[in-house]
Amino acid sequence: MNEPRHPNFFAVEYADQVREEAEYALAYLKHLERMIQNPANISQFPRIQEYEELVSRGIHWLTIELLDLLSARTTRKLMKNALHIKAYLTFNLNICLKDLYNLVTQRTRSHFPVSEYLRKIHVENVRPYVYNSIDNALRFFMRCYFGDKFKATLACMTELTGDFRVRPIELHRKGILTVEVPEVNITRTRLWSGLAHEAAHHRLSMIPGMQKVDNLFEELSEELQKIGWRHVPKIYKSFEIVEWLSYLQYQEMLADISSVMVIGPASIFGLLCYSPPVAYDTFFTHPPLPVRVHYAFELLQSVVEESTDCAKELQDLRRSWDLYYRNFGAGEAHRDMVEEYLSVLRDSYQSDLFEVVRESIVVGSHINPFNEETWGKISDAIENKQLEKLGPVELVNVPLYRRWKSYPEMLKSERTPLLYRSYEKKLTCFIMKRFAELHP
Amino acid sequence: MRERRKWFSFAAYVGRHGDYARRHFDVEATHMENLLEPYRNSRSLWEVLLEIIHDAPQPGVKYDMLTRRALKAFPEGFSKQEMKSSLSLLRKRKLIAYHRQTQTYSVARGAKLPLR
Repeated sequence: MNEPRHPNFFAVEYADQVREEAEYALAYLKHLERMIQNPANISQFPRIQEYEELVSRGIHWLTIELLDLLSARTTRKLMKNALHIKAYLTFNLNICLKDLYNLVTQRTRSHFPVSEYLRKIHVENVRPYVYNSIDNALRFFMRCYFGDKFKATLACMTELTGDFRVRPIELHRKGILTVEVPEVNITRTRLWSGLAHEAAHHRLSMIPGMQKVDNLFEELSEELQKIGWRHVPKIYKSFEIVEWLSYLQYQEMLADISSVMVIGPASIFGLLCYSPPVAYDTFFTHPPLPVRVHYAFELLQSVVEESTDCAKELQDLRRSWDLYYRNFGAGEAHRDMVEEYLSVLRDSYQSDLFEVVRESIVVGSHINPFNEETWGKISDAIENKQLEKLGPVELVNVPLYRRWKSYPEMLKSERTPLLYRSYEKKLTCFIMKRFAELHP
Repeated sequence: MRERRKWFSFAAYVGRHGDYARRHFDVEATHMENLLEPYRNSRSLWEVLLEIIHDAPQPGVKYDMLTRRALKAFPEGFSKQEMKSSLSLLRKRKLIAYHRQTQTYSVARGAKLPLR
């Protein structure tokens, strides 16, 4: 297969997200190096040489790897480098970095200067708005799923590592939700789709016993378990685990569909720009990426009329996804699993899933779920650069859609897409401020 | 139309298996680790080249030998262009040096090597 001349949009976006994570980790490492090498702190660290070695090797390794990533010009090379860095961060660096950071903070009482870092990446004005805007955005999504009377105190925490998570805690009283957000995602447009997805998970875990949701699970569970028995790793081949995994996958499907129904393409962009391009062939906690992308596109294409601008854009997006997937989805075992999965969904359950979400999960009366009209408003706003009148659903769609639209132009002018994000950063600040002002 | 079965309790189901499963899965963390598992010990071309050069006896290693060994390490997807750019990256970072007289690559004197 001939490699297209330019790297694929989604490969660039995924690689760029990894680049930002790596640069963030690098900034952390440099902060730790400064702390450890400060003569005043020597007595605080009995194993100083070991720490120095660890930090210095991490800095060297990441610097070279980042240079290598920035020089990548093809989809394959971008994906390979990005996955390589992501695996290094996940398995080698994040855990020891977190432990070392805790140790250094505890002993020297010095914290990583997040504001300084944000200034460096040109989103310095965003810091005062972060927590309020995340709270307000999440409250908006919760109301889409729980109804207009949803009330909770949200405690947002940002973490160096980890993933999006919303969970209830009981401190002095009920009704407090902790919201964990990976720190690096604060500056990413993927933040909003992550919140929309997690809010749906929270709804599913807090209100069990919804008859339609449960009935569908009972039917689908049998089919999922059949796939599961064929593809689950050997160590997990037990009735309980396969059943539990199909339960988790069902929840993921519902959360994906809910999020697509509410915010539309932003959810697909988020999914594709965040998920590693890997053709995994094991039955695990999430459905395979091509399956998730498939039902998301099917849902969106079912709500727009054919031959409209919106339908054409969705077709373009889907074509771009197909090209991207061709680069990593050739494994036979993976294809088999995806095909089995899709044949189950396509033939029997896809429309049931959409119906269940529409009737039982997306229940807020104040929202107008994504539709052609929303799309029109987004395109107009981008064209006329007038974002002030947009509502939350439109706002979360603007940055990645705008980036998608300007991508061909970016390539024509031979800019390096990995480094050209200044307008997107401006948009991030703007959206943060808008959400902070929102009074839900 | 499929036949609808009797009502099934999701809550009861979670109660039956939830604790057991939660002990085994931190869903998000294991998901990402599972996806990236095949790349856990993967290495970039520059890392492999640096390792070969580092392990080579004096006066260093020739380009042809480097290519052969790199090709062995990356039987699929190896490209000479990528190798050249990796070598140039290592030279720019002053981790390796090229000796014209012997036409060999060796580790630069005093360089701290980011080898794992």
